[in-house]
Amino acid sequence: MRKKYLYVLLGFSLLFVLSGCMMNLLGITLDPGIYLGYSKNNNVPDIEDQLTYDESLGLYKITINASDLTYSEIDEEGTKYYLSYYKIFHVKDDGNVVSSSIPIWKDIVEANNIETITIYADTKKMKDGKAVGVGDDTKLLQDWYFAGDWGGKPTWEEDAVKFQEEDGILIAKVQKDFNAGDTFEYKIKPSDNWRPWSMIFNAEIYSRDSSNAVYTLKSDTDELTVHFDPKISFVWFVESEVN
Amino acid sequence: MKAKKLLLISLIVFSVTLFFGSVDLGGSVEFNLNFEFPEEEDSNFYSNFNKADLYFKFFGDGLRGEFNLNKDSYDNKLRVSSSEFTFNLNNVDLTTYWNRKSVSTDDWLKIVNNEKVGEINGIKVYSDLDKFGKLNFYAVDKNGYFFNLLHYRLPEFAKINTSILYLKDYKNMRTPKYNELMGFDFDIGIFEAIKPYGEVVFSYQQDIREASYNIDNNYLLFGGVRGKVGDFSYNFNTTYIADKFYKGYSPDSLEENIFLDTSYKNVRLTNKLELNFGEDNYIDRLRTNLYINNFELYVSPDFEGSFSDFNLDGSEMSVTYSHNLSIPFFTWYKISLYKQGWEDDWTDIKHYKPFRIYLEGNYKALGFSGNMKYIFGNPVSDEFFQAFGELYYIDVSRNFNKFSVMGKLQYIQGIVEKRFTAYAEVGYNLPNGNIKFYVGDGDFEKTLQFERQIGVTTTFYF
Repeated sequence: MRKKYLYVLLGFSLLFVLSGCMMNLLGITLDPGIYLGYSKNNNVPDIEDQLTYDESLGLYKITINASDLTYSEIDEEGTKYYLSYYKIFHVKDDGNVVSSSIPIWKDIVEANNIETITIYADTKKMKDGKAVGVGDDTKLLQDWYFAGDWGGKPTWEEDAVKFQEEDGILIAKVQKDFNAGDTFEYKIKPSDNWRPWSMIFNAEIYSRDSSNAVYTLKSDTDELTVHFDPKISFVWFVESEVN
Repeated sequence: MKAKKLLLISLIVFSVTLFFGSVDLGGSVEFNLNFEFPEEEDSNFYSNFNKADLYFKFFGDGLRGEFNLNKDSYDNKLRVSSSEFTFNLNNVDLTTYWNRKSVSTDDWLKIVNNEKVGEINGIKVYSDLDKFGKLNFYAVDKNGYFFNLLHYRLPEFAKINTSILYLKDYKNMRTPKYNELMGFDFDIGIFEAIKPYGEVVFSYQQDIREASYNIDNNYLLFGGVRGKVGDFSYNFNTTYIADKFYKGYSPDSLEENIFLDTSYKNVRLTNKLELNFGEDNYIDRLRTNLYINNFELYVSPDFEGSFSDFNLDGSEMSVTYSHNLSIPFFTWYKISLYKQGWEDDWTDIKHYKPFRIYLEGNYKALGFSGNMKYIFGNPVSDEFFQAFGELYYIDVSRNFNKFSVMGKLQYIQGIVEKRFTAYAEVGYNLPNGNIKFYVGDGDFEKTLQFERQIGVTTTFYF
């Protein structure tokens, strides 16, 4: 009887030890370059999944067929959303930079009859483990809202500022008397009611349970303009000058 | 200036503790202060105290309550962010709410959901009328809407349980849309072998200027039967939701389905067919779970509209086995295998459709105990790491007299990326409270990379 347990214990430890190097055993190596891992290549990119540099945009990009995507069913407390995740791998000699997983929302692809999707990467802005510097063109086809608590009534649930598109960049304006050094928390909502939660953007990652982003004002101002470039998941602020 | 504010917070904690300590109430005060190390060097030292929360809870004769005080992130002012007080008067409880998510009902479908109603300010009256049933009544303000809800559970009569509910909200003439919901649920428990139950709900949005009271297609029907015969028990129900049923206050999980649960001794089988009823019923998928002792089998065929459109690639299957052990070191383990779709060629694991191998174990040795996990899959998780890789996790904890220590580590190896995070805390028990210091963020699903933060949480009981 005791022997049986010993075998279980041995088997368990053996599994741990052996599987310990599972990813290394698979020996996946990538030559330096910028790669896309997505559902078509089962998250393991190859030579043909490399991004190429577009000089006019100053960005790396790759165009894929929407029909090649498969979507995972994400159950958000009973409501199902269909999302297809991708990642950008920037493989280089002085340390790899890999983005976090970024979702493409099936409803947006279908509602707009999208046939091809272009994914962009700005290697200068990319941060390891974050979505910053990486995005795609489907994200310009949905509504985004700027929600936060900048004094007065918080706008988390109601009265969030809807972004308006101007030349491919999304703009939201917040009018209020701010002082230099003021800080506030915010998030970018993928719809008025936050759904799908997995697409909530905190200026770093798309996730259902990330912490709020924080912005600190640099000057005294009465209007703050929020810029959001969803094709590279990048957020920046412009403080209007007060006369 | 800001140092003074911190001093003020501490002073408030102290004086409130003293106050509640002197008026013969029981309760607790919890205070949390968190410091995040800045990424940018020029950021303000005090603004990195990004959290300062106080939670008060107390209870006494005919009164109990709780409220939170938070440092506002915008202007650093300390505010009561939410509160709840309950006064007991004979058969009546009066509760007041401030910024609380607390409106819900306990009918079969829990048709009014506190997450959907959201934060409210107002009162609730609960009265136990003994032979005349139980009554819950809310009169609250919800973002400028006057929101009323009445839920009356009738006294049980001959093992028949029923309740009725009525909800209405209204803002003003400028926003003339209002919502109304009426429901009735029942549970007939006369015969052990056949217990019918169900619920009917009407829910709609109306424009006060039209007020047509057209309630076509605004209804929901839920009904079934459950029972027990010897060692065999069953539960069968169906949910039908008409096209224009207003779901604004109802749980998001409310969907059309047919459900059958049967069990015999240690064997349990559940089947849930997810579909959309209509002239041509759209059959989405079936989820079948079979439980035999510690073994669980999950099979979910994907039907894209009808049974004949069966899609193997979208179908899922998993087997799970867990077992308690009475051997040194390991006390429990769990093994689970998951696969979506089928592979034409099983030789190259790198190109498999989604799969997952999951191992978990609890251990105990030399006074230490903890849990460890190993996951290898593509993706590792549908939620926190949606890519190919493997995850290692271990935690350990131990109590020494009045001290308790806990630490945990997680490492994820992707194709070329590595993600490492850790968290540790040390607690010390005082005669009437405890104090805890921590490093890092303990929520590993939220942050895959180590968070440079430290904090302290103190709790006092009075």
